[in-house]
Amino acid sequence: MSVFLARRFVTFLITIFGASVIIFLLLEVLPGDPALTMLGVDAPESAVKAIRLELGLDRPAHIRYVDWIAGLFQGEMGLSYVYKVPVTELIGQRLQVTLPLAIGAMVVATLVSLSLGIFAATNHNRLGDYGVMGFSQLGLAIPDFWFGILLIILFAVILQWLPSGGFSGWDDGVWRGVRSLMLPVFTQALSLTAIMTRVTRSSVLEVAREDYVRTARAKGLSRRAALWRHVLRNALIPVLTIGGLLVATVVTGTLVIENVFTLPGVGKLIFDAISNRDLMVVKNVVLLFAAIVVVVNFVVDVLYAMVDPRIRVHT
Amino acid sequence: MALLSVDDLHVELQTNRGMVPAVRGVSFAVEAGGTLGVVGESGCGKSITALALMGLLPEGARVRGRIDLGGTDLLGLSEDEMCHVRGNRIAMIFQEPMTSLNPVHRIGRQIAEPLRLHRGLRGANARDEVLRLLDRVGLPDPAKRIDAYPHQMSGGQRQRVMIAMALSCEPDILLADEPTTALDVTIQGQILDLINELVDDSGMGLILISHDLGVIGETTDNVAVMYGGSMVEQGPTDSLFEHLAHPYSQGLFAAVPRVGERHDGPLHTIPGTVPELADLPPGCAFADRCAKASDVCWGPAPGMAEVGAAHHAACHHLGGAV
Ligand SMILES: Nc1ncnc2c1ncn2[C@@H]1O[C@H](COP(=O)(O)OP(=O)(O)OP(=O)(O)O)[C@@H](O)[C@H]1O
Ligand SMILES: [Mg+2]
Repeated sequence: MSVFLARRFVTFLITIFGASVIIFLLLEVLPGDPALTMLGVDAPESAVKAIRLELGLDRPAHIRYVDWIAGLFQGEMGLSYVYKVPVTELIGQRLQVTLPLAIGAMVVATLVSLSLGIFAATNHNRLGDYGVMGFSQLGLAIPDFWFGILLIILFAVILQWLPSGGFSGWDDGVWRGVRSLMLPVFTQALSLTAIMTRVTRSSVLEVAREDYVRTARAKGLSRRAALWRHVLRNALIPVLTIGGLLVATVVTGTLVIENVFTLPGVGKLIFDAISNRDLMVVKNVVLLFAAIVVVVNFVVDVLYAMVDPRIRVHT
Repeated sequence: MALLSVDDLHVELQTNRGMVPAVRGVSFAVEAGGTLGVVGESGCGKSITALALMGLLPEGARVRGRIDLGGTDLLGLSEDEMCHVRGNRIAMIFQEPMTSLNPVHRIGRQIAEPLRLHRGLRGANARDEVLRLLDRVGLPDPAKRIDAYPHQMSGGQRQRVMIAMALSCEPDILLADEPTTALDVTIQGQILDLINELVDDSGMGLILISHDLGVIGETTDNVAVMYGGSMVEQGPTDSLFEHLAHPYSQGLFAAVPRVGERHDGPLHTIPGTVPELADLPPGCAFADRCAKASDVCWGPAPGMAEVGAAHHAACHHLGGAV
C-alpha cells in the first residue's frame, strides 16, 4: 500500500505541474490586459506602465512562472490585483461557502442515488423502476440553474421557508448558514443524482446476473441477503468511477450555482476575477480546482483498492 | 421410495418471443447414494432442469410437475422455505469456477456462509469447520488458503472451494453441472475422483450433468439422455452403454471419437442443429434430424417404452433394426 501511495503522490505532482504550465500559458495568450482593465482603456500610457511595474507584469513570462510556483511552495499565492489582499486569504474565506456546498451536494447525491438506484434495480421493470427512471430522465433534462430558480420560487417566494440567496457567514450561527445553503445544495445535487442513480441501477442489475450471485443464492441466501452481501460491494465500483468524475462537474458547477444564489464562494470569486482580469486570482483558483480533481481521483483509486482486492496486486 | 423423484417436470422460459418450453415432461429418480448422469447436446435443457430443482430459474420462468425430496414437493414450498433447502438439502456446483466465487470476499468467508445460515456456526467454530472442509476437498495448506481471495487461486482450486461450499451442510442431493468442463484434462480427473469419493463417503445422491460420455460412463449408475427438453432414453449406465435404443443416443455416442481408433473420413456427427426452443416440432423433437424418421414421427410424441431392465426409450422406431 505504501508503494501504491508513493506512486500516486508522484503522479499527483506531475499532473499538478502540467496543469500549472497549461494554466499559465493560457492566461498569457488570452486577450485582456489586467492593467488596462483596472484603469480603463482611456488611461494614460504612464499610469498603465506604473501599474504593470507594480504588478510585476513587466518581467519576462518564465520568471513570473517560476515566481508563482516558488510562492506556492511557501504557501503564497500573491496579491489579488483587484482586492489587494492575499489570494490565499480570499480563497480561504470563499471556501467556507464552496466546500460545504460541494460536499453537501455530493453527499446528498450519493445517498439519494444509491437508495433510488438500488430500489429501481430490485423493482426492475416494475412501477417503482419506471418511476425512478422517469425522475432521473427529468433530472438530466432540466438545467441546474433553472431548477435552482424553480426552487427559489417555491421555497423562498411562495412558501418562504428558506432564503432565496446570499450567505452571511457561519458566525451568525450554523443553522442559518445551513439554511442558506440548502437550496443551492439541492440544485447542484439534481443532475448528479440523476446520473448516479442510473449508474447504480444498471450496475446493480448487471452484478445481480453474475455467476457468484447465483452461487450465493444456491447456498440458501435470500434475494435480499444476496443483494447486500454479494451484489452491492461489486456494484459500487462503477458508481465510484462516475462519482469521482462528477466531482469535476461539481467544482465547475459552483460557478453557476453561486451566481444563481448570489453566494460569496470560490465559484463567484473566479467568475468576478475573470470579468476583472484579476489573473492572480484566476490562475490560482483554476490550479486549486485542478488539484481538487486530482486529489479526488486519487481518493477514488484508494477506495477501489479497498473495495476490490484484485486491484491491490497490480499496484 | 427414492430420495429425490422428479415427475413430469415442465419449465417454460420467458424470452422476447414469448414463453417457450425449455423442459418438457422430464421424470427421473435418484436414490440415496445413487448417481444419475444427464447427457445431451448444448441447449437441451440440462442446466435449466438443475436450476428448476434448486428453485433458481431465471426471472419469469414457469414450472409445473413435481419435485419430491424426501416426501416434500419442492415446487409447493415458499421462497423462504426454499432458502432452507438450498445449500442445505440440495447443493449445486457450477460449470465456471472462475466466475462462481465472489471476487471481493475471502474464500473462508464464502464457505462459512452456508455454515452460519443452516448450521448456526459462527466465529471460531465456523472457521474450524471451513478448515476441515478445505482439507477434506484436498486443498493444500488450508490454514493459509482460507484467507485467500478467489483471484489468487487456480481453476481447479476454486472448483475445490466450490465443492467444499456445496458439501458444507451435508446435502442429500448434490447437483454438479459440468463441474469439470472449464478445467484442464488432468485436473478434470482429480475433481471427478474427489466428487466420487465424497459421494461414496457421505451417501448423498449425485446428479452429474456432462457432455462427456466418458465421464458419465465411469462415474454414474444411471444415465438420462436429453434432447430438446425431453428425456429420450434413460437406464442403468451399463445397460445403456451396451445397447443404445434411441436414434439420438446412437448419434450422440457415435459422434464421440474413441481413443486409439483411426478415423478415415470426417468425424461422425448428427446432421442438423439443435432446434430453437420456440421452433420445436410437434411430436418427436428429434424427428427432423433423425435418419429413421417416418410419417408417424410427426404425429403425437412417443412415450417411454421399456427396452431392457429399468431401461426406457421414447421412440416410434424402437422395434426396427438398430
Ligand atoms: N435465462 C434464459 N432465458 C431464456 N432462455 C434460456 C435462458 N437460459 C437458458 N435458456 C434456453 O434454454 C435452453 C436450455 O438451456 P440449458 O442452459 O438448460 O442448456 P444445457 O443443456 O445446460 O446446455 P449446455 O450444455 O450448453 O450447458 C436453451 O435453448 C437456452 O437457450
Ligand atoms: Mg448448461
